[in-house]
Amino acid sequence: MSGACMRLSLRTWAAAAAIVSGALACAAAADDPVAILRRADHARGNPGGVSFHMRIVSLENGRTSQLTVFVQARAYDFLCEELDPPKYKGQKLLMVSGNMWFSKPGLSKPIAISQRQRLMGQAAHGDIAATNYADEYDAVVAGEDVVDGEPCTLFDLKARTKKATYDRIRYWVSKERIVGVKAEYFTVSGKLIKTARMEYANRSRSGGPFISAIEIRDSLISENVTIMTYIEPRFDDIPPGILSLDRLSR
Amino acid sequence: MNPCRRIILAWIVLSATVVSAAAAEGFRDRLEYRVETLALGTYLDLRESSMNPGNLLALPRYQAGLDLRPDLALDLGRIGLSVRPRLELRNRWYEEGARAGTRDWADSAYVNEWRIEARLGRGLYLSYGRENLQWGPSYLISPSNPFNRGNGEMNPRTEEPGLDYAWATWIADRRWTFSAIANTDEGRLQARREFSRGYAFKTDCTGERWYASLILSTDEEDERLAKSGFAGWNLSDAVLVHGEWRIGGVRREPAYLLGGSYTFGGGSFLVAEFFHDRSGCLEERIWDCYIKGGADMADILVRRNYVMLQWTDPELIDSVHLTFRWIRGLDDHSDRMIGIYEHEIGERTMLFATGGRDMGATWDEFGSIASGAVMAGVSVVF
Repeated sequence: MSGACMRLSLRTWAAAAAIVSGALACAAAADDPVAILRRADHARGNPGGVSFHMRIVSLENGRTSQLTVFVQARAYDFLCEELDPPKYKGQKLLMVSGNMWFSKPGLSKPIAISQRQRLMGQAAHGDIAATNYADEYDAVVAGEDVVDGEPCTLFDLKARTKKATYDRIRYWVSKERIVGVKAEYFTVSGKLIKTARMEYANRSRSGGPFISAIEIRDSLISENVTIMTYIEPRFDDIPPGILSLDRLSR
Repeated sequence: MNPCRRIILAWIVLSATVVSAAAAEGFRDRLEYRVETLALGTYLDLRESSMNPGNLLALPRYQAGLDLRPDLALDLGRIGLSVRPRLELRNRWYEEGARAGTRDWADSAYVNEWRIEARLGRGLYLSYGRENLQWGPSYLISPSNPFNRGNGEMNPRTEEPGLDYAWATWIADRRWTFSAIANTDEGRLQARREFSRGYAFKTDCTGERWYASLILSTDEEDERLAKSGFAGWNLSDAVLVHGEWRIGGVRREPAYLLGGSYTFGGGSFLVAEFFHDRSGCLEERIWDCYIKGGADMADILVRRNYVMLQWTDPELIDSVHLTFRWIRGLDDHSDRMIGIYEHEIGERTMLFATGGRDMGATWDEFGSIASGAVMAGVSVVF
């Protein structure tokens, strides 16, 4: 065998090996729960910065409440300003690195609050934030299922630390769109707290799906439901002064 | 001018200003306003004591009042302006002391807070104005604040006075913020001790589920450096712990506060705090704390050791919010109970009632002036 043929043969083998290894890597990534969850997380938040209006409608025990807020978020940090109804105008909620503060007119200074506190109805304050299931939970593929006619992978998520908002989550991720379409949230004792359904009618800066609505339903009283609608997201940089505790009441 | 007419005239002028400014082209998106009107009544169950013999402080037993509290903010891009003028009208009934059996009117108009701010870019902000400058995670008192330890938590309807500050802040990144602050005037804080200008350098650090701040401060009267700070940790999604402290400065002796909160599944939360101030007064009679001990009437707590428990349900039954607070003075064993009730009606209106009960002897800190107080009324927001 000539040297040229040998070089060609080596190149061919190297190229073939690269293609095969790349394909194997893609296949592995496609099956890797963490990679899938990270893509699903990206559809519910933006590392660079995103702002949107959110309308929250809550039906609790036959009583309907509404709240309109303006959210400015970067990665998992956000500032939520309540706009309407007028009695809530000026109230603000800030989350930075998992720390949350609440401020309102008349309150001398922001108070630290836990992520467990409710915003309205079934929606916790922490539900405004982008999800970070890929990092905060250990994921196991629990099977396959169909949600609204869409084939999904069902993940069983177990909190890695006590810092996670929920101890366990069953999470349905669309196989085709790689977005979370349904979730069930459980307490430490294994009790189902609430279920959520997600829609992705908005588009991200890259044209991918972006969260447009979350419907959260009480597990005990199924008539108690809260719908969070994300309106006209804008993908712009959020200045550091926006997400600053020092400037929350100023 | 008649107080009622003055209030009405001010209201008309203010409303016209807000409406015309909001309607003006170019200002519609730049002007933010919130106007709160309060109609309230108060009752004070005064006690005869050496702190207030013969009602020397001329405190009324009953008051009926009307407050107008507009908050206006104008965003001009690089420049921000805000102002919070206040109008108060009171009708007061006296049942004790030299004024017993009399009634009078009182009105006041003042600017509690205002500020002009320059946003220089790259996270740098300069501002000057009159502000109620507060920080720290504590509910009872803020020992880390060298300018005003009171934090207005006793009654959310009563505003803390604004002081004059010049302020420079640099937000370096999402983790670090640095602030240089000069307190240039006592503003509306009526402190007993003579005012002297104060200066502070504050460093804030926000970590993953924790935060901390270090404050170095001094003032022109006592140039010794005071070191103070605060920190908080999120131990879980329900448990928070926090602390505040101060060493040195005018008060010389150290003070610290330790606390924590637990949030229940329904959203209500319980807060517990312990506060120790080594420079606090140990005189048996509270009056002596002011006469001999040099305690300041503007200070909200003057003794050494306190515990506080607070339970808050922000959404008890739909739109009812409740807070109960118990403060125990561990040195003189006096107690203060506070209940705060708020009931939302419609989109703009809120009924509120704040009741306080002091349980102690007339020479104790809690109980030396009044055994109880109630404030109730209605708030309408525009």
